[in-house]
Amino acid sequence: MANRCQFENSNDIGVFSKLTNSYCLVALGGSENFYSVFESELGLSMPVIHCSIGGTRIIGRLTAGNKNGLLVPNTCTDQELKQIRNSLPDEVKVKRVEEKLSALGNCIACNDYVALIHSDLDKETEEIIADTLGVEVFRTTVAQQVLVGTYCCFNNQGGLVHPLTTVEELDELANLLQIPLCAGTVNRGSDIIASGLVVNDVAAFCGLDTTSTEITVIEKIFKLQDKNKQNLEVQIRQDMMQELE
Amino acid sequence: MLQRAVLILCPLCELEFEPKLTKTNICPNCLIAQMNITKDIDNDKEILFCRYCRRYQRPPWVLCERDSKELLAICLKKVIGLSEKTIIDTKFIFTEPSTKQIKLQITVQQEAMNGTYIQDSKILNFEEVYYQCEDCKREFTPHIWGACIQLRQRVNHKKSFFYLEQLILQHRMNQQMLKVESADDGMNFYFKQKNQALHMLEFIRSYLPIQVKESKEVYSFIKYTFVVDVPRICKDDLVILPHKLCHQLGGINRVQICYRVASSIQLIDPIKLKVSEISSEQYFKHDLDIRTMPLRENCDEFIVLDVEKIKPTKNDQSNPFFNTLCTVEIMKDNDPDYKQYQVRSHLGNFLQAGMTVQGFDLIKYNNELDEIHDKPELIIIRRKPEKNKKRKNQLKRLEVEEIQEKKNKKKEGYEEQQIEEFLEDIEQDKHLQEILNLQQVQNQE
Repeated sequence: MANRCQFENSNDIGVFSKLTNSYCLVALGGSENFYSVFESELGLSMPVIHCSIGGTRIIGRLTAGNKNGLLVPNTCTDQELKQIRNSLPDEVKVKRVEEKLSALGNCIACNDYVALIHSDLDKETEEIIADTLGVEVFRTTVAQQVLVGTYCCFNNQGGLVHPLTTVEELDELANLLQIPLCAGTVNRGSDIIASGLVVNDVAAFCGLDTTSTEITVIEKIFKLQDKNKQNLEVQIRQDMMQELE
Repeated sequence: MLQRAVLILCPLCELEFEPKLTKTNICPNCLIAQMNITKDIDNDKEILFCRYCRRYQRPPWVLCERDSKELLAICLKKVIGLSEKTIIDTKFIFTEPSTKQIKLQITVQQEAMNGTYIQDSKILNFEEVYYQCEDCKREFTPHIWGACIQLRQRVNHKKSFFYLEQLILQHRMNQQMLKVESADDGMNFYFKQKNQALHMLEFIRSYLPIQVKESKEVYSFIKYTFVVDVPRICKDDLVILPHKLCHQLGGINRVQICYRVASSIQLIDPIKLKVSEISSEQYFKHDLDIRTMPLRENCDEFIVLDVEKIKPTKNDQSNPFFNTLCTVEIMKDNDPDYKQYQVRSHLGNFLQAGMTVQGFDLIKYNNELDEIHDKPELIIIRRKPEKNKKRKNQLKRLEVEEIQEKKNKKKEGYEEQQIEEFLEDIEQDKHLQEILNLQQVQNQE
């Protein structure tokens, strides 16, 4: 189910939060509304962790992670790292990465099996990613943009990419990731996908500006629809057809 | 193989479109609907229109037709909101002039995101607002003058002023004058600013010898008055100079004829036929001692019997009249004695036997001119004018206000007579004709 929310009047949810299948990170200082949206949707199984990285709130763009692990940049202080490690479930490995391109969220897009990374990341970092997150790593571009983490967003069931991606690229990426992909926008036509959207296998959150068309697209491609709801839709359609007849 | 395209659903209208073509993230229809590029272009603007002279303000006041390029430029200048847009096309939509509305349809283009352009057209409305331009204001407001030139000449006639009037009209010096008044002894010119009056003074100075006195009255602004004096000596006058002035000019005779008044007074000696010049400073130093005898009051007529040209010698080369000097045998008209006199004159080029000429008979004035020893007896000035002659020229006149207090009854027909005399003067003098540019000769033809 896709939910709309805002962090301090900003529609860029993906900047201030990070959502995976086993945990959720959120930035400090937002209103309780923001947190309650997450908590009510995710239930008690998933911890919602308030943290900061390097004193900043843009944690969504600085970190990259999946259910296996979490990578933080070198700007993260020891205290913050300790706090995160304490709050996360024990299965999740936390690693600090010494990397020139420190906005890991912009450079790495991943789900639980595959990761796409920025073309200029170090070999070392690549190995760390493969090791910590337990994924297969590919260096690609999305729509001729090197910041793969910004312009595409995917979970284990599907993915959404920048609208100017070519057909060949789409095919190639779909092949690599082994999931269906489609091009779309978020937040009323914004093409910066990952800043307006966080998604895992059961839930997605996007900015308040997202139109219903975009929500439909998101729910379809990430396969977030309730089983119950799906049945309901089929029922309504059948009833309507009967009436027309 | 079909080229597949990446299609996305427009977030606003759910229309499937190819984002690569339009390079935008929303479908073109929504883009056009969203970006109302004509929104910031102000619709109702005013342009100022002077209904007296029918000119539009730009800021300079220009005269332009209703649907012209100049009007278009004025309208576009007034419109705000055209900064990032390029104007593709403009068109005037017809409106009745009496409605005071000007409708202009413009098509503009503006860049939307990512290099696509949106084009849209809009109808702009301009309203003509009546506003009096500065020139009309000047014409309508009386008494707001900043500088005044009071031109005076203490003679009985106004020929110099007619002359000046023609010059003013010809050189269009009357454009900056607020008002022209005529007084008993001269004329007043009113200007808005001192520098305009000074310009006029320089103009007058180049055609007449003058003496200027300046004064001012201080209000919240300053009003300057220039009193300009023109010498009493006019063309065709007999001039009697004081001794001192004669010595200054090189020992010339006391009796002289004025044959031309330009920036200086030019005299010719009737006996020796030599020319000399008096500048305005020299004249005004000796103003009170110089006596003039105008032709119209002391005019006598003679008949020419014989004309003999004088051969010019080398000494005479500097004389402007050296070609036309002659000795003339004349006889007084109506003389019972038929006495013949021999006179020298500079008018050799048109004197002929049998012609009647006008001039001065100094024998009559024996008593008054007693102290002058070597004076001529008779002096020829000019040809006698025909009566009721048909005039070739008709003069243009300036609009002149009469100063009411000094209006004299006898002067009503006087002015016409003077104009006739002035026209006669022009016809007889080639030099004057040249100065006044002969355009009046073609006036009536």
